[in-house]
Amino acid sequence: MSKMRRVKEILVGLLMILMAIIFFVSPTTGYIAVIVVLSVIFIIIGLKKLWFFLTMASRMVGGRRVLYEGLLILDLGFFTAGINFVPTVYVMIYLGTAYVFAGAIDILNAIDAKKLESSRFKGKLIIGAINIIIGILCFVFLTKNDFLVFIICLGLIYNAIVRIANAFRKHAMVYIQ
Amino acid sequence: MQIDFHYYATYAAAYIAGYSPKEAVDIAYSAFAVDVCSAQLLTKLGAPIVAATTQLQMELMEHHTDIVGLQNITRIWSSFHFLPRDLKAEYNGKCTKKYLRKYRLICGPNGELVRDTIENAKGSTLQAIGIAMHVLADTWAHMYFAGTPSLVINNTDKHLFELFPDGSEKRIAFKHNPVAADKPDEGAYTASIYQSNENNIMNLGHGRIGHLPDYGYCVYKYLPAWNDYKEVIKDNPSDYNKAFRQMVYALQYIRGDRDTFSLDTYAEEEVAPYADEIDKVIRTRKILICDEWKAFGEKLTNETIEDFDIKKYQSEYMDTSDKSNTFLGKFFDASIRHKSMVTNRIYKSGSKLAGISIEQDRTKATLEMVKNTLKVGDDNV
Repeated sequence: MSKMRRVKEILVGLLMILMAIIFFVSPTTGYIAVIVVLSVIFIIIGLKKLWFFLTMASRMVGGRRVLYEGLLILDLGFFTAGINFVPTVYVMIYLGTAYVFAGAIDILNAIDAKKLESSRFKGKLIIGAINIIIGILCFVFLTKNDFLVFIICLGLIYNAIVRIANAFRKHAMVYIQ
Repeated sequence: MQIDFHYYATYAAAYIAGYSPKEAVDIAYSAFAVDVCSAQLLTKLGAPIVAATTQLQMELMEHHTDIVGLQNITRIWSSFHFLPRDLKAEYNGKCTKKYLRKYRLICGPNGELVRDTIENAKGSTLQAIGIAMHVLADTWAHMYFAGTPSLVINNTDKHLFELFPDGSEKRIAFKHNPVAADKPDEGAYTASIYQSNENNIMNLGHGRIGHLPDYGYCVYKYLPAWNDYKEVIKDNPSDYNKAFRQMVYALQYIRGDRDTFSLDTYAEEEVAPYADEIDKVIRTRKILICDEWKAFGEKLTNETIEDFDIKKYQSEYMDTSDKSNTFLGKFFDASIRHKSMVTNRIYKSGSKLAGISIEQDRTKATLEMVKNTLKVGDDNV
């Protein structure tokens, strides 16, 4: 990770913490802001991936993976934009599913890391477990509006901390001779 | 390729081509120095950063893959490790210009740029010859990959099998732990992880199939990202044998023992007495075969081959004011010239992926002219 990238990660992390605070103080404003930012980001990433598929990756071995990624992310963007108009219970289901899914991915990565005897195993396992616990809590408190605010703030702060911590972590890669 | 081929095999090739053991060591030293001459080393020596011939892990990680970062990466890796085979290549089918520019950077042997590299080394320093040997050898090892980060060119998928002499084959499932050593006997290899970003540094060169191209014994088949789902068989033992023969042939031309350098021509006759021994060394199933190549080289010349020492010429360079006449000074000069030549050839092909460079030869000629003019002026005064 470059220095600039590290700075960017830290700034985004701080912004997420700020959003959590705004959301906690004024839930309605914060809620709309979170939905809008998330949906715009997803839509841009999805469109970029689709453009990349059309111009470059369509002829690549395994290129359809890029197409599917683009469609899924774009769809997620539209869906996220739409959930502004649905009841809290559906937002909770969405959040819960997203957290459980992210947690499962982290735990799978942790299992891989353990197989490779990587020291990152414990960290990934803890992150995965926390994500799954938050997801389960979403399903437990499905109809509680107050809890929705709390869970979003908690999620934002938690992800901000992970992002900032990652910015300070060493990264490794295969060296090509 | 690694130190075993770039240093010890190059030494043997130079000797067979007619160079003395002392000259052969200098050529081999320069050939392998290409793999260690990073910006970090150059900074330490107070040498021009533009002379860098490789990038270390940390340097690559520090790079943005924006256009400036990409150009720096492409200049180094395409010039010294993944020399493009055909900058005028046409893709078989419809594709965008952006795709075509990357497609044309695919490395391979017997291209026009190899010929130009050898032509430029003729009449030049031993350092320039060593660099040319590195570049030539890598065109064989790194065939089918490009020296620029590109998912659509350098990616592979799970269809990758090692082929054994008895006709059997075994699927290779890569691990992604960067500190884990490859274990050929267990079929355990490491490769860079899939990254869907086209310009991610993980998609540089042959990272997606790890170090398989660097192992002389390895024969494998796979689906390169760019080959329209057509399988490719990479026969390293055959390619490494050809690389050795072509090095001897090119070195004979550079020495003046041959009148022309033709592509796809090899020093079969000169290598024939050692062919079986060389083939046996290349097929040794180890990730590094320095001992085998060293034993062969020493038997050939009856002289001990010193191990590669990165510090060998450093104090000579740092302690003198006339740096251009030191061993490393000549190496840096040769590397800048070669990089300039390849960069400009890529630029002239219509691609800005490597940026643009001043013409080193033209610049030197201009400087000489200015210097001579000033001398004439001084005399007149």
